[in-house]
Amino acid sequence: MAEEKKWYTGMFSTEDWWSFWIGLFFVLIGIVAAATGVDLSGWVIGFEKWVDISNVLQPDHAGMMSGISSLIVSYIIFTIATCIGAYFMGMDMKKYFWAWTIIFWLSAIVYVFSRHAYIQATSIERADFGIGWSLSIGGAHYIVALFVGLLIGNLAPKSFREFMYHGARPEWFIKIAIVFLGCKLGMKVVDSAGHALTLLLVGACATVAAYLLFWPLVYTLCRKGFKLTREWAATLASGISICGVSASIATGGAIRARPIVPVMVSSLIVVFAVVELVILPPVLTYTPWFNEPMAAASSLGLTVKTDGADAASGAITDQLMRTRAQEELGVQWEEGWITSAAVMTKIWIDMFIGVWALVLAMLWLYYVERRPDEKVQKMEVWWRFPKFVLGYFIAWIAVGVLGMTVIGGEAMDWGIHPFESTGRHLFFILTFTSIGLVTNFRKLKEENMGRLALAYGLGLLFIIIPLGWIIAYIFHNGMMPPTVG
Amino acid sequence: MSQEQQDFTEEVSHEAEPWEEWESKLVKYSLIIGVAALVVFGALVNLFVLP
Repeated sequence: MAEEKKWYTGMFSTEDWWSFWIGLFFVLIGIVAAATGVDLSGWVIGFEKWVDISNVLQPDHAGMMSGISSLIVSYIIFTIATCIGAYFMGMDMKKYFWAWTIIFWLSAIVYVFSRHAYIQATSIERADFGIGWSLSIGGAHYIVALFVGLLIGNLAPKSFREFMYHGARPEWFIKIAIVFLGCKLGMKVVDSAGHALTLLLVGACATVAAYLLFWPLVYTLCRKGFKLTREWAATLASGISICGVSASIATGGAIRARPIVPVMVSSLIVVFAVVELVILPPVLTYTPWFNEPMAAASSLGLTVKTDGADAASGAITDQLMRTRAQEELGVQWEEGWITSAAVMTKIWIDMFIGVWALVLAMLWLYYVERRPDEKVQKMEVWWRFPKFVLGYFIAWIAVGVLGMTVIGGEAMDWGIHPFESTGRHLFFILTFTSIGLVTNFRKLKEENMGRLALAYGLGLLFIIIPLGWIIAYIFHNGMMPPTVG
Repeated sequence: MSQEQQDFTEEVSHEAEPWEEWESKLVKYSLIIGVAALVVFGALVNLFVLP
């Protein structure tokens, strides 16, 4: 007999909940540091732009320890934290530990070399580094990490690739980073409450509209255009319209699809998200979308279908657009707003997964499986609700409220910055390396995957991206990131 | 072709069920509510929220 589900089921056994616990644990450390003045958080490793390699590693609180000590301490602390999560999630601990270790140090090496001033310094910074030229590719470390991951994930021996899957958990890493991002928005509230609340409101409106347009159009395309069965069409429509892997799994569960359905759809989603991740940020930056940076970023939330790739593409767009704005307009936009816009719409979309899974579950019970006497539990909404989103909002509210009241903005920034900025960037690059490692382009070669891939590609190109751009523009036009100072 | 690939080919190649009335309703009402949300929220946001 199946175990009865309680409201707390999965609290210590799912990736979603462990993003919540780990993310909020570090946020709490940051808040305690801010409140007490005891430096509990300054050890987090940061990677600075450099021409002299001895300057690249810096702890978030300069002078607290040497750069290399900071890197080792960060490795130890984050390893312990994620190993605890991995243990409770029932992973193979030995394999997780070694795969995680390889991913961490590989990402650190990529981060170090990609931060060279010749690669990342803006034209304004060149004089500071004493160099005459630079490529000015903000966020190059993410792109390099992705390609290194892709190389290993597609070209390394099969046994090694499969071993690395034990530690390559892009969705988990990015969800922890998103909880950290909640702190950033909390600090934004301290600095500029109106702007953050506007972003929240318009993100919600855009998501509701997009959600209800994407799904029926893609479902119809799959059913009528590609003659797919209902379970394939519904799962694919949820995957491409809503929130990628999570939505396809939630939909698969809601309609009781065979396990192969969400698994195959998820692999398509991951492959396409990587392609979008590489293409969309430069497209948005070097087209007229540059004049609407917040709308452009919001469109990423509507069109890039995994949390990891969305936040990652938001981070790249943030860097590319800020670099271009600084060089061409002489304006320095605050870091993080463009990423936040990309993540905000995605977070709203994530939250609706539960509602949509409930709707589909009821439709399938009452119409497809013809069991009108069986009731769908309302708790299904809670079970499907992405718990890291709770962590994001708790972090946001706690940092915002405490920063504006008892602790104060300056102290809060000191305590929380190591996680909301430096730690978040570290988890971003871990995500990029992991996305590359788990992306297997061979999947597209499999028999008949071409038909699904074509449905996905056409849906993305002719429904999701154009509609997503229109909706993002309608709800974000004219919004600009605040400027520094 | 491996057994796994054969299974997958059979899964995707299953003949699709006929389109039913409830699917038309699901698509129709989703689109109607979606367009209405786009118009109403879009107007409100542009009138009262955006710069």
